[in-house]
Amino acid sequence: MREAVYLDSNSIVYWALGSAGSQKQDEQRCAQAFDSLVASDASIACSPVSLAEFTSTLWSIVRSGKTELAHFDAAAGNGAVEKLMSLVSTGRIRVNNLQPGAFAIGMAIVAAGTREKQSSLRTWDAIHLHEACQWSRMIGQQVTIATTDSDFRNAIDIFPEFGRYVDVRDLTVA
Amino acid sequence: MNSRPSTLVVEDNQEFADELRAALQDRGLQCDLATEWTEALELFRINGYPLVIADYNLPDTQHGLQLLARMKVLLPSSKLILMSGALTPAAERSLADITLIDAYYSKADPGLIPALADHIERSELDGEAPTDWRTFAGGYVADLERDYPEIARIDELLRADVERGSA
Repeated sequence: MREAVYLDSNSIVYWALGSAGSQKQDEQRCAQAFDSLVASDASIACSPVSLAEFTSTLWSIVRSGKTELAHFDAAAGNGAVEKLMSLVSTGRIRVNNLQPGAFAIGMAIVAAGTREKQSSLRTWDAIHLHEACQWSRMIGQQVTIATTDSDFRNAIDIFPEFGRYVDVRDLTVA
Repeated sequence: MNSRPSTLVVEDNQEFADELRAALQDRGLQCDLATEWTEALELFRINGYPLVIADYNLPDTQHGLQLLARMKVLLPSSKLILMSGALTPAAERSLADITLIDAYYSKADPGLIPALADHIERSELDGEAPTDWRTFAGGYVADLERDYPEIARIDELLRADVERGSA
């Protein structure tokens, strides 16, 4: 069975940075892992939230003026967008429009995280989690969330029931 | 009737605008109207129209194509239709060579109003569907910035046509 992978926005950002010549090992590893994923037969999807967050972070990086990000200028930003859109336009990365109730359920998960578990969840991560779970339900198999941070693993630790539908892979880990 | 039109018409000829609006009203449609480019860009930034229909010969700028290019860079999935009085064959050939304009119409074309109304109606229908991300992504024209010098040259051609009284 083909793996089903849902892209968190961070994985796309790190791919863009790593592909543009970042000297940071985690960004380089993520770029390699991302490219391997694209070259594989895995089914890859994201949501419009992934694209929106990617866009926000990407252009923030271009504007940052930080020395360690000097390699990622506007040309690099445009190049990253073009590469990503090329993958979307060919259908290699599928963008699943948000399911009904995505925002309401995301808000509910965030509130429950604090009220029930005294733990923090970010709203966009909660919406990603919801979307990945809904995709899993639609295709009848577990979905792997590709990310670069520990927030999704933490979310599943807080609410283990999400583990019925999703697992997490950190693309910065070799 | 949709209270959020999905089409922006950029036209300072009130008679033409009235005629188009009447044709749209017959079909239960509307459009937003800007009479100059500055206003058009502001409205586009706010509303992100899927369809823009623009007359090239507007009074407040020499560089209509370059302003359309700014719209295309903002929202590559937007369709841009250009109208003008008449283009010289050279200008028409040049327009066909760049990816900026999705359709061109001569304002002398007697079928212009119904053709534009057809475009607007299709755009309204498309706008009611969930985003087709493959089509959206395919419209990304990151190479538009590479076309920019060519667009400036064609703008000069079109502007020369206007001044000669042909566009």
